[in-house]
Amino acid sequence: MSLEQSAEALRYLGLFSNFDASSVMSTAVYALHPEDRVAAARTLMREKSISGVPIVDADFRLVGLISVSKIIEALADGRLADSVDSVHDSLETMLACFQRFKFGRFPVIEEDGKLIGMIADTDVLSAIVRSFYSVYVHDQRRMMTIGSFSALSEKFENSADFVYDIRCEGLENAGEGSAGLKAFLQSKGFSESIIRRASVCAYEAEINVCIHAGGRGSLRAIARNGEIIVRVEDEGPGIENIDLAMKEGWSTATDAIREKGFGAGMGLPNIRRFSDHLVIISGKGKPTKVEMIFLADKD
Amino acid sequence: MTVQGIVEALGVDVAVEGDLLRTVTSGYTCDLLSEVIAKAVPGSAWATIQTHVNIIAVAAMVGISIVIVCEGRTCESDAIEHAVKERLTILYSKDSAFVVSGKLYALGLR
Amino acid sequence: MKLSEVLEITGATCVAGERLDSVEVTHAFASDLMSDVLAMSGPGTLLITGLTTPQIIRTAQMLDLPAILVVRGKVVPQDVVDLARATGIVVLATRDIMYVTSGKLYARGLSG
Repeated sequence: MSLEQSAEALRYLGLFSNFDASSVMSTAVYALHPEDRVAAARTLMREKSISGVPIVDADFRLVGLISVSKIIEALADGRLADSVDSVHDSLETMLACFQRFKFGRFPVIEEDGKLIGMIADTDVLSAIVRSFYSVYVHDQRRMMTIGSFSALSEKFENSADFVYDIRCEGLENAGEGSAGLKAFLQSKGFSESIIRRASVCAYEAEINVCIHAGGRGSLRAIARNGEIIVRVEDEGPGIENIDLAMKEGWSTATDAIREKGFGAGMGLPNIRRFSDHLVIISGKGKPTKVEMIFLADKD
Repeated sequence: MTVQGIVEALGVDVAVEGDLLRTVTSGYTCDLLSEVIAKAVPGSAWATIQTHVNIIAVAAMVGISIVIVCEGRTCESDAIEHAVKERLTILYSKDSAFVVSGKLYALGLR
Repeated sequence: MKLSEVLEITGATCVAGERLDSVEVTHAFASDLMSDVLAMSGPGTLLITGLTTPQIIRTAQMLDLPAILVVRGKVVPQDVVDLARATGIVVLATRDIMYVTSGKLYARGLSG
């Protein structure tokens, strides 16, 4: 299928129709001033593991981009002490190049030329992954396809708005965390329907921790800017076959659990049904991480 | 009432056509197999959302006359195979168990 | 349909909750599998179930269900009653089986 045919098919299917550069780009951007030295560009790229740095003027307007290949050229010519202004590609050159070559990253500018973000291939991949109901097994397959790229939200690294430690004996107090989450989301003023979806999914995930992971885990949520991210983690024993676990009606739960009204193989399918984005990372003998994202504008 | 009568009255998809002449004397709606074994009476029409192969064994043990699988669910293939062997009729209804119960009850099955 | 009517039609007793004439249910859903309820039910639904675990209350709570009707003559444990009261969910109980309860309510016009 040609690129044009692919684009046409995506338009027809309505996939990615809500995508624009601002929803894909990363906004934490490293940029240089035209007066900065080429050596500084080299250091920045090495330290931040990036392959190109945008050059902006005092008003943050994009004037060009310095790439690894330009630095190598400067290195060969012994011009590391020169200003980046003397070696970078001009905006015109850059735009011309974008049409001809496959660049690894693209600057995003507003109409007045002001730099507002960068889009790297990993940003695009991340956005595509988020737009599908994506399921990962934390194994070789994942490493081969996406390398070290993390499908989980990095926002949890620093803090969470809601935290609940799951400590459950049997099924008795399962649901306490989700009930707490629901009350928290209500206090934040989210709409009823997004709260319901997030609560149901959190509850199913909490039940799963109680049924399959000895009742030990955590339920955390970040609720900001109309978006709710819920992450439920446990310490294992993990899901051996995620494809099967996602299948409705498939379950490894015991008969005793089934007689209590759970373990009918509908938990993960329910989570998939009610979440806007879903990432599951697990594997045999590994912890399970379930991250669900709920978008307010779907309601 | 016979299985045939239920099939005609509900007018839903027939997944397995078993013995259509079996008598249906009452209804039972339940998704817990142990409850069905303990409480359902022989000759019942059983409405459930369970689709597992075990429902056939339970139905045979209790003497269920017909199974109505609700909510548009479909049985796993091994369940179908067993039902064919047991000559047990299985219907697929798009209605919920509540509605199927309501319709059977309205037919006079108590 | 008002819960007071549900009580009258099914011959149930009220285990938790009060002022049944002020609580309205628009649909009913009968199931013993909570994930099924979580998948299929919405606000305003009367949950008819044969389970009496705390999870029936949690399920109703997550879905904003106003009331639960416990069938098959099951005795609702005190901790479940307490949880129902704490979360404001009405619990009724009847000796009838799920099939009969559903049949009676459906016959009186409660939709699925």
